[in-house]
Amino acid sequence: MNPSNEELNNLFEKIASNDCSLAERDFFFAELENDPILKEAYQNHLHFRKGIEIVARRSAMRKQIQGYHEGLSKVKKTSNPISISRWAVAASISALVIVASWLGYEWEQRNKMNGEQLLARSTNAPRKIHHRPSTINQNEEEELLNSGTAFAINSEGYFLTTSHIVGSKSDVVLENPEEGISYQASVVARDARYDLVLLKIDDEQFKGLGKIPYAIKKEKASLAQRVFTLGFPKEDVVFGEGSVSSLSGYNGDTLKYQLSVPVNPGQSGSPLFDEKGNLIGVISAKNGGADGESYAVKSKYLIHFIQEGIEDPIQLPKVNALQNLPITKKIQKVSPYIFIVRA
Amino acid sequence: MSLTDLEGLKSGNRLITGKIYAAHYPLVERMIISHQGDSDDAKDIYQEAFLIFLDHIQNPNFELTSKISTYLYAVARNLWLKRLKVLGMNAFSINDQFADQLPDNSATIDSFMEEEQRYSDLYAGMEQLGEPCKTVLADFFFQKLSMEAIAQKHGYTNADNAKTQKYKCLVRLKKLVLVGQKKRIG
Repeated sequence: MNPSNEELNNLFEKIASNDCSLAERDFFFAELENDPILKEAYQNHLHFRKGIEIVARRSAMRKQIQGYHEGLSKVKKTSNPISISRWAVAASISALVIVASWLGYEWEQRNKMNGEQLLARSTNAPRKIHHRPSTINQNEEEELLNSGTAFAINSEGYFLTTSHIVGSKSDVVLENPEEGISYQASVVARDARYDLVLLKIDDEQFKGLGKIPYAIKKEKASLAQRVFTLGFPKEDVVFGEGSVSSLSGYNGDTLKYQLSVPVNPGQSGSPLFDEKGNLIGVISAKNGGADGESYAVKSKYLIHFIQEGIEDPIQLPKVNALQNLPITKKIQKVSPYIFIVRA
Repeated sequence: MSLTDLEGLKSGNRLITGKIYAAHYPLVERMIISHQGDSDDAKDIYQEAFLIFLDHIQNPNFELTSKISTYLYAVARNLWLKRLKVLGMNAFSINDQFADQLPDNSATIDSFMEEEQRYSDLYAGMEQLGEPCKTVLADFFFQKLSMEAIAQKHGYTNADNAKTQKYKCLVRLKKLVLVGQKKRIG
């Protein structure tokens, strides 16, 4: 017997949902004992099944809870009828974590021109550690790599970037070309929903960073607010500025802001600052169809992520030392905390 | 403890759930607003706490050892303390009169958060999947509808047809999740 995947799936389903006779069941489990590959496949199926159940249940509950809160506001007349919780996002994150290239041809065609495009950059710069200033040796093994931007969130070596850059890799290299340093770092937490990853420098050469000069702001940004960002679309740091053009991202995605900041591949993971130097988001994507339209994950979800992702939450920087500095000084202060991430 | 309330919550009765949601919000809101938060924070934290509660009572071994209001308050308080810590605010002094009588829900919260992380690729995959797949899978695996009911609801000619569709959706979802975990180059 050599069943097709679909037949096998149907069989698993029958057993798992107890839609079979006792004899069938006994036969199946006897088979399972003789066939470790089948056993593993069945266990994977059960795991996946359970996952779908949990995810579907929680998504439905989130939507319901959102409804209850709206009902509450009607009675109590609170002042923010449009504030939407993260999971009322529904149709919105469809484009969140997506890179067209791995979703197959059809998807790619549909979204090539005007979808949300993630901003990882492919490079063949070697993933190499150099603790002292040095030039990169191009003869080292050349592997096609993903590169993006990461920024420090505390002085002990915790960094944030977007999860689509890191993928399932467990270690990355962080590099600050201006300072001529790079460090090995490992993934501490990752959440595909927010497209965020927390990294920690894992390198004996690392002696700590100075006090983070920017603060993370939990409040929502305002429409038309001026913003700036620093990132690595190339091997040198690039400054970009613009404003918050919408309080939702692509397709109404409530996890993100829409910005009028020109960004390019490699800038994914760049910190987004308001004029005062408060961190208000993380650059993650741009619209392939509309020039200069880009998206950033809101700082609120960054806070959610840190709170949920690690058992003993780390403290985010809360003092903004940039407030009264001119922009050029701000950039100087911030630069040492922004790194290229190579995964 | 009112049995009917808990039964109503467990079975997903919207009227009862909505009533309970509304009943216990003010206490949590007051606690958060009087401890460095605003009404946005209160809403955020309470919704998360309520979700953890609804999720927890689905567990067959769940036993409510305190009043619903106490349970919700304790979870929300725990979440808010964590949030204050992340934000670098003074998290040592949520002073309430019955702090030491609150049940310790930290294990429940931690396991909930851990699952949220573990399934984050699946969450993202389900969203990318789009309709009708998303609903078909939810109807089958979560609502536990029969293939006949799913066929009827989604306009498939018969149960076998619906089954094939469901299988295709499942394969697509698996691919999305796998791809999401393996490679994100673009």
